[in-house]
Amino acid sequence: MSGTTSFFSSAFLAALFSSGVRQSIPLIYGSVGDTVSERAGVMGISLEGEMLFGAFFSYLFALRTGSLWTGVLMGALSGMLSSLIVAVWSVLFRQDQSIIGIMFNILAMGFTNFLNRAIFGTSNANISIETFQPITIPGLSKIPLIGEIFFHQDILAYLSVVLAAAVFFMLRRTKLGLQLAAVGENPRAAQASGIQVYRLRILAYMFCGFAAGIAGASLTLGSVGTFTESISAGRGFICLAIVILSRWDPLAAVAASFGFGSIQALQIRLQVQGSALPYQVLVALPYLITVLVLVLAGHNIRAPRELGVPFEKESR
Amino acid sequence: MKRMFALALTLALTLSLTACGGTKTETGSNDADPAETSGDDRTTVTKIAVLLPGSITDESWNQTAYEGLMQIEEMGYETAYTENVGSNDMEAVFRNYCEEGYDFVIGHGAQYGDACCRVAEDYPSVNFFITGNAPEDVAAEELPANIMFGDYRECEGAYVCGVVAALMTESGKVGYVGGGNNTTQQSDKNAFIEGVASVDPNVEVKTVITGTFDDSALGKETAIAMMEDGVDVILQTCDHTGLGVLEACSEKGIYCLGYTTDQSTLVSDGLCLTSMLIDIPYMISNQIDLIKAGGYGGQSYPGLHDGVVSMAPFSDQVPAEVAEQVNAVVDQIKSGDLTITPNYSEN
Repeated sequence: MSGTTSFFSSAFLAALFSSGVRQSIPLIYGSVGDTVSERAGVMGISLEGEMLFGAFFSYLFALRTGSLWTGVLMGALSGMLSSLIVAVWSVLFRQDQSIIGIMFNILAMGFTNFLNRAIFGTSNANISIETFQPITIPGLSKIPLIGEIFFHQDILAYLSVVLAAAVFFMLRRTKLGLQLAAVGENPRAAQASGIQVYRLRILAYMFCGFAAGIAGASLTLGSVGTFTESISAGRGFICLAIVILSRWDPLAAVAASFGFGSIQALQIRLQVQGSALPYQVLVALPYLITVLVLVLAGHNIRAPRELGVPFEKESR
Repeated sequence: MKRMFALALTLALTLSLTACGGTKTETGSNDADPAETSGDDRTTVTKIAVLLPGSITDESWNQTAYEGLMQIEEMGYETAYTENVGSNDMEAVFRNYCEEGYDFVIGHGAQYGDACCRVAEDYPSVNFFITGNAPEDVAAEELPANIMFGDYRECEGAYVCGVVAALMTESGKVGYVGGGNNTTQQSDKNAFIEGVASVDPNVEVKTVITGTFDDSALGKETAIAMMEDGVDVILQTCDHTGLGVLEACSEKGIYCLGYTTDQSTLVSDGLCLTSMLIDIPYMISNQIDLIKAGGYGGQSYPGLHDGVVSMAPFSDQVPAEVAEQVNAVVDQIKSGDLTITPNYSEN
């Protein structure tokens, strides 16, 4: 270990967890979106692909219009529209959700790569744009450590928590939340009580695509400032694990995302400090811990009963 | 029934992917006059084929090999290539080309070495080229004589980058961001550390292996973590992940070093000091001349000396005396006064 940096200095901790927050943003959007669709019984295997669509189109529109907000909106819309493919196939045509999801992810990767090359060419002169800058919240940012970590972030970070809170409220306190749960737990009973199961499932899945689109936008417009091929890099699948870990609770998903992001930030810093552990262990650390937590704390996890099961109106 | 339908669709998709990666034969304009193949002297080339591990649009390893093949085709040779050749069908593809009368077959990557050794002995009149080092478990004298292993020395470029970094750092800390686990990456890292130490052993080198070549956002966070620790020059050798590193350097005003192509246009204010360039197309097309010279085969180590590895022009940020010192090191390596041995150790 290098002598110059202490692991417990407040500067180090602030930097570590601040990076953790930044890395959790796409995970929060993705997992909150997936929480809603899984509550209604549709798995978000295709999150990864929707993130790619969101990342590409948010970058494209932000670059062409010069407005980051137009970019975010178009990213979200593209995620939502692309999710319709999956929603229609898995809900209306009742196909296996995993297979449709995997096919969609392959399609999304190929399609965004194709568009990227068709529009920007194959040279490496991809134009970089000014990203969202951190906003300091007056007052709160003065709190030692906490202020630096949580109240000096970009707007997408703040909005992700607002979204999670809104979804939490929607699921717990509104009729819509109850209907979603009914559709995911017992669609037949829901149908009998007059809920349109297909419509609700498709809407829930479109919301998931919308959120995944913003997750993609947070990568291009919040972090890197350009689109690089396969930029989602597996985050969609991490979101699926986070949803299980957080037991389909959007606020717990925020915490789990922050935990994952922070471990990722920590493993980078351990490498920088020169750890005695082989780098392979450190690279795998966030994933190892995710699996470990699932094993240790996952014994009484109960998924929505009809999760992943296509619903047939006519059958009995 | 429904499940079968979905499975059938998946199968169709997989097949279409395989079809995209199919074999393609192309014939160039016939302005050269390849002589008749004569016995086992192996100094003539007429038909050339390449086995590629990936697809030709990857902006990198496979694409550059394809470009090399196209240069050969422009010389008037008949060429063919097969994409996405995995370990299960390497040997079959090699044999196929040999049976079809291709007299120069290239396996693009060290992973083709073993399969090539098995095939080469059965086709003594065919020349083979492997882009990478020879299999480590085979003694050099037991390698078939008609294979050339082009173990190109990317590490020479990384060493020079280390020299640049050590000369330019003010904080006494420099960084290396790698993508993953292969011999080239490891030798890059070790050569970079060596290059830094050759200038000033007191300069600290911070290294991070991200484990991915695709995650530009992680690359950016990695670079930021290094900067927080005081690093002020970073070399990255990890494709898309590296683009995130460059973005962070551009944003925070830290020096960086580019990889495979001249990446100075991606970074503002000349902060990208120079780039190590790898000329795969040239390495591939150059083999034709080597074959014609006779005695083709064995192991070669093309690097700075052969123009396979080179350094991009320095940015304005590099003072003339630093440039001079760096160029002196490049000349030393070219002349052979300084040898950089690839060191494949992981940590």
